[in-house]
Amino acid sequence: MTGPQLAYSASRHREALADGTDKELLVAVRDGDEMALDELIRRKTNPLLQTTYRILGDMEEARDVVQVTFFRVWENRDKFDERWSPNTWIYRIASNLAIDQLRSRRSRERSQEPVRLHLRQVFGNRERRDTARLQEEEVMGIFRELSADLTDKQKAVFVLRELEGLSSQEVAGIVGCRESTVRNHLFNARKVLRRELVSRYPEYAPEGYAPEDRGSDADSTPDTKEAS
Amino acid sequence: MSPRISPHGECPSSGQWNDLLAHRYEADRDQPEGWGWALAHMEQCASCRKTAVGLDPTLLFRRLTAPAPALEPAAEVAAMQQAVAAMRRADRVERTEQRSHGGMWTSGGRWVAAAAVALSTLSLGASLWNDGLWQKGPGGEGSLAAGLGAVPSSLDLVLDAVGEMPAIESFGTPQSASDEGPMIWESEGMPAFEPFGIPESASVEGPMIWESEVATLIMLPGSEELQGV
Repeated sequence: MTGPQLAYSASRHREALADGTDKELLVAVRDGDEMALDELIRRKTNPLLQTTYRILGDMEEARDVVQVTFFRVWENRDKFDERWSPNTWIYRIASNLAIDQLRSRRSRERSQEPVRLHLRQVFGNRERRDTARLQEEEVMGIFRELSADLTDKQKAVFVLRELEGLSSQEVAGIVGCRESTVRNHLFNARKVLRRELVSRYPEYAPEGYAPEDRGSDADSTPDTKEAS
Repeated sequence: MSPRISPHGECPSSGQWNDLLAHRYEADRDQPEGWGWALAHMEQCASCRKTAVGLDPTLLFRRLTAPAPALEPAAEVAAMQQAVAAMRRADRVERTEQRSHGGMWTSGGRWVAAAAVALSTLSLGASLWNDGLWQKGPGGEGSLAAGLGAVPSSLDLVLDAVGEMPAIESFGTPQSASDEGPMIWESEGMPAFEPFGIPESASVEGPMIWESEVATLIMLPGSEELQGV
C-alpha cells in the first residue's frame, strides 16, 4: 500500500505547490524540492521567454537562456533570501544571461544590414505605410536592427521598462543599479532609437515631424549623461 | 470606428499628446498625471496611436510581443522541464565523475607528484653540495659544467671519504647492519641460502648448507674471526 500512498502524497504536494506564492515556491526549491522547481518552470517559462526574446530577438536563443536561468536558480537555490522579490531574483539571472548572450553574439555578427534591406523591400511594395498595420515581426526586425546601437544595459532596461511595463524600481532591482540610472538608460535608449528610426526609416515619421522641434530632443542632452 | 475611452469622451489633442510625451525625453521629469490612461487609450485608438507615434516613433515598439511560440504553452513548459532536468542530471554525472577520478593524476595528485620530484631533485643537489662536488670537480669553479665534469670521478671521491671498498654486506652476522632473517650458523638444518647451480639445490629434501660455505660467501673485510667458521 506504500506505492498508492506515496502517489497520493505527491499529488497533494503538487497541488499545494500550485496554490503557493512564488516566494513559497522558491523557499521549497531552496530546500531541494524538485517538484517546486517544476512548478516554478510551469509558471515562469512563458513570461521569461517573452522577455528574453524581446532582448535577444531570437526564440531559440531565448529558450536556451531561459533553460540556463532555471538551472542557475536550482544551482544557487541556497543563496535565495526570502527578503528578495522572487521575480526580481529570477529576472535578474535571466537578463544577465541574455546580456551575456548579446555580447557573445555581437562578436559573431556585426551588421544587421541584411535585415534592413529585406524590410525596405517589404515596405517598398506598400502604397500606404500605416505603422499600426505593420506586422509585429517586422517591427521586431526593425527593433533588432536599431537596438544594435544600444548598450546591452540600455537594451535590457528599455525592454523591461518599456515593453514589459515593469516599474523603474523593479527594473533597478533586476539590472542591479539605482532608479536614477535606470531612468538615464531609458532616456538614452529612447533617444538613440528615435534618432535611428527617423534616420533609417523616415516613413515612420509622419510629415511635419521634426525632432528639433522638441525642446527636449537628443541634442539638448549629450551622451555623456549616460550612466554606465 | 475607434473606441473613445477618454474620461471626457474625447481623444487628447496633438498638443496634449506633446505634453504627455515630453517626460520620455527628459530624464529628470516625472510621468505626467494621466499617462497610464493615455497609454491604455493609445493602444485602442488608432487615431491617437498615429498621433502619438508620429510625435515619438519609439512608441512603435510598445506593440512588440514575442511571436507565437512553435510549441503550445503547455508543451513549451513540458519541454523546458525536461531540458532543465536533463541539465541537472548531466551536472550530477559530471560531478560524480570528477569525484571518482580524483586519484593520483588529478590536479591534486599531479601536485603531489611534482612536489616529490622537486624534493628528490633538491635532495640530490644537496648531497652533491655536501660532498663538495661543485668545488672538487676538475674545473673547480663551482659552475654547473664543472660540477658535471666532476661526476666521473665522484665515485673515487666517495670511496676516499669512506676509506675502503665495502664488501657486500653480509646478513646474519654480528657485524651486519641488517637484521632480517634468522642467523644460521653452520648446518642448523634450515635452508638459509640456496646456492644456484648445485644439482642438489633442486631438491627440497637435500642438504642445503654446505659446511661453512655460506658464511664465507659473504664477508665483511677484516672479519677474519669468521673465516674459520
